[in-house]
Amino acid sequence: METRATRGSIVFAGSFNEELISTMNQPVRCVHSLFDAIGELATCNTSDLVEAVIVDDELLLDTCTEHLDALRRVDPTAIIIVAGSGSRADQADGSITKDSTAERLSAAIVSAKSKPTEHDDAIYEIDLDEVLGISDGAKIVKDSSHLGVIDLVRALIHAPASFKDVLVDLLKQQTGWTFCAIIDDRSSAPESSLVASLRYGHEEHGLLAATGATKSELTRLSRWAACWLDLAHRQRKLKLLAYKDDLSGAWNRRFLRTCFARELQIARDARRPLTIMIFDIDDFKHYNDCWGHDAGDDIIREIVRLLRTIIRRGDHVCRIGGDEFAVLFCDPEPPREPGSNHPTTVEILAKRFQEQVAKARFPKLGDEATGVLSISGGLATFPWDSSDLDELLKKADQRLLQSKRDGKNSINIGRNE
Amino acid sequence: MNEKKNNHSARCVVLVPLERIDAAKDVAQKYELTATIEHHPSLAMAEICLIDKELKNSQAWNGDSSNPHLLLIHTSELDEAQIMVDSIQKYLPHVRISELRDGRIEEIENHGAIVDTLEDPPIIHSDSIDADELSMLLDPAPQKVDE
Repeated sequence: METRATRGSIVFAGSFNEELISTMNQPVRCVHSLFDAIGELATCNTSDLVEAVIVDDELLLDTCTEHLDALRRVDPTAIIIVAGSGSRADQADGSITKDSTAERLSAAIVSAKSKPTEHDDAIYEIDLDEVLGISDGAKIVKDSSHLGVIDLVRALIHAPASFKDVLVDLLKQQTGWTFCAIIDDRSSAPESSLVASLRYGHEEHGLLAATGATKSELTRLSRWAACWLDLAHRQRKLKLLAYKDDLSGAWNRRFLRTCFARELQIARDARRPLTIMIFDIDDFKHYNDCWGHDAGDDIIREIVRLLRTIIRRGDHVCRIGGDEFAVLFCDPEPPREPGSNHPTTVEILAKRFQEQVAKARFPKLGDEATGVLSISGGLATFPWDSSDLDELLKKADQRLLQSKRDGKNSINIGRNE
Repeated sequence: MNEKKNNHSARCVVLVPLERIDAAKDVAQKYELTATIEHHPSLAMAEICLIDKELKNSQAWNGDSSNPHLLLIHTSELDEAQIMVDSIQKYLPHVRISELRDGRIEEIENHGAIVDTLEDPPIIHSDSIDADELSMLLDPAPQKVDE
């Protein structure tokens, strides 16, 4: 079966060499500012979607994050490539140098498209301990004036974020070194200090810098510290595996229950609303059967990627079944006032997500590549719908089923009940 | 109060520097705006684009013809605010853009005219013409060309 072409236009924002633009083998639009690029994304029609925005890194100045967030907010499906020295490329989907050829740019776009979505471990590591409520032990450990190995174990289990600090404090107490730190490069160590590698097997965990240590003492204790750091690293990895969905990179059902319980308590204490949305992909089985499980996997990954571009910092995306997802909207709304209603922001976000799914492109679906996928979902909000975790989940699920009965492709917020 | 509400009730994005957020909250409360507050010009433009899209979608269903509204507060302190305004006027010319000046909301397009107290346009009276002049104007005789 012939695959429908899904390529659209390329928007170049900033100044680029004529040769690159003239040799592109797809429609090109050139604009001078990033705001014009946002305008192009917002006003393109469905028959000529923007496939990628190539941004001259001189336009990004010091507010790279906000500019790229804005582009993603308007069209999360467009690939963003930064052209320039590469210093700002880490926040984009890919990068090229200013003197790149059209072939190189096309390769960068293809590469960005095929990038898996599950490489955000750094974000998870920061979130996980706090969200699961296991960072409370930090104070207990830090208050201890006579540290021992038991404190390291305690930090490993209860306060992983402060593990390195406890390790350094313990080394200082045991050795009497005047300075001790775990650093990433030698240049940040004081001139008077000795530096040793923190290596365990094939894993590098940085450098140990110490003032007042002998070379042999530092070598021996750096091996000991590297062993502990490796243990902490493996512990973190195991924890991630326990709470993460491997295919999509989203959180899993176990995480949802743990996180939901904690967020519900926070919402109760702060008198803030908390909303859960449960949704699934309409007729997902059909896509799996017609186009293979590979295509189905791609849909799951793309759905999670789209969701992440729409939700706010603090919200959580979870995959809780084959094609079933939950979004926990935890971003703090203002405290409730007497007589207030459901928060509208969440409804806007849910609606935006539904629209983005409808216009998303899935190249592996061949003839059905664009504009056929839809979702059905249900929302439930604390305190209006219930104060109990299971009740809220049940309510959201019932509304999802109601959306299905009503003909699919809708999100039921329960306003008409 | 109702008048204020009627003039500004469309979905609104307020662009204000982070350190001036109190001013934005005061204005939103005073004019009863349904406002999304942003602190960076590109995020404000993105929000306006999304609201515009939502309003267009809803217009198709319920015929509501309101346009998004961008309100600028102390934006002289923000880099690139003017470039953002130029781009919005280019791509979404129907968006209402106004600015807070001396505590009042003034349209940018009207070069500072105050929205709430717009006066009727002036009527210009010309001298009346007599019947002969009128017939000449309505049926001018063909002029002979000198050879």
